[in-house]
Amino acid sequence: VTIEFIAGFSRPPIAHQAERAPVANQALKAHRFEQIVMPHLDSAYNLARWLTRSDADAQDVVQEACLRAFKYFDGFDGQFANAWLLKIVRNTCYTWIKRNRPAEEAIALEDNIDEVDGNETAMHVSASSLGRSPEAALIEKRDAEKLDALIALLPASYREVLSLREIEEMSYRDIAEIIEVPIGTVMSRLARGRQILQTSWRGTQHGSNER
Amino acid sequence: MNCTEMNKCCQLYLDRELDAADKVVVETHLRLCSACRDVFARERALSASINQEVRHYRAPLELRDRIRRDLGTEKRSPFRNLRHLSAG
Repeated sequence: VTIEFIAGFSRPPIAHQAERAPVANQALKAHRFEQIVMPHLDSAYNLARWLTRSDADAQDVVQEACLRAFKYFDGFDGQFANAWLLKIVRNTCYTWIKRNRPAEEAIALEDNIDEVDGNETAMHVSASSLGRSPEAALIEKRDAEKLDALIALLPASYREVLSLREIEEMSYRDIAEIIEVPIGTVMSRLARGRQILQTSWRGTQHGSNER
Repeated sequence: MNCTEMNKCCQLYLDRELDAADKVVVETHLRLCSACRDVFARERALSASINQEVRHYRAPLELRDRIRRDLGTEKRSPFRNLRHLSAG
């Protein structure tokens, strides 16, 4: 009787096992997601925060991106999880911007952004979308805050490469993979973004000296 | 290497995208050319400022909790049920 009891207890009927399997698989998947993807949440939030320029919006975007990532997690091989997650976050960001800030999207996704001369125009449009002029926004700010504000004024295409390179310290190859452009385009956007920053930075320094 | 080439390589050097042999070529040119040294110093200062001074945002705790709740992986407090009972 004891042996039958133990055998019966340790081996539930087949039908019962089949019912429990999807639940167990889901729990295993969630556990793997926690181990492989969740360690990169800071990078995900940082990119979304720089792209949306808002804490609440970045949180919504990252939450939505993580749900998407979880949905596609079965087909993911577990390699380069940071780049994989950031690619999903970036795409979710642009979908979100398109849906919620259509005026900004026209600048963010400008096809010929790499050939645009003097992106000061784009900077002013970005600034006006923040509801203030660049000059007004920068008065009396500390250097680090000024730099933050100047980057926030850049068009999104430059903001994302600068954030991925300077903050996440990613290679050109990884950045190219995330934003889905050739490596040469990553290089030219970094160069142009830095050039605009240099120019506007010098502008704020002269402005401070004159005051 | 001439100054135009150096101009292009400056960013690659700072971003650590050059191999050892190309790095030596850049460093040699920098030692010989003061104009490129000035450009390089400006670029390096900007890069360092962005890396050190620009805000590195970290995911807020409530965001982690929201995602874990969605995925069903939230870490439950051992007192959760007691709180539930006392509230009821």
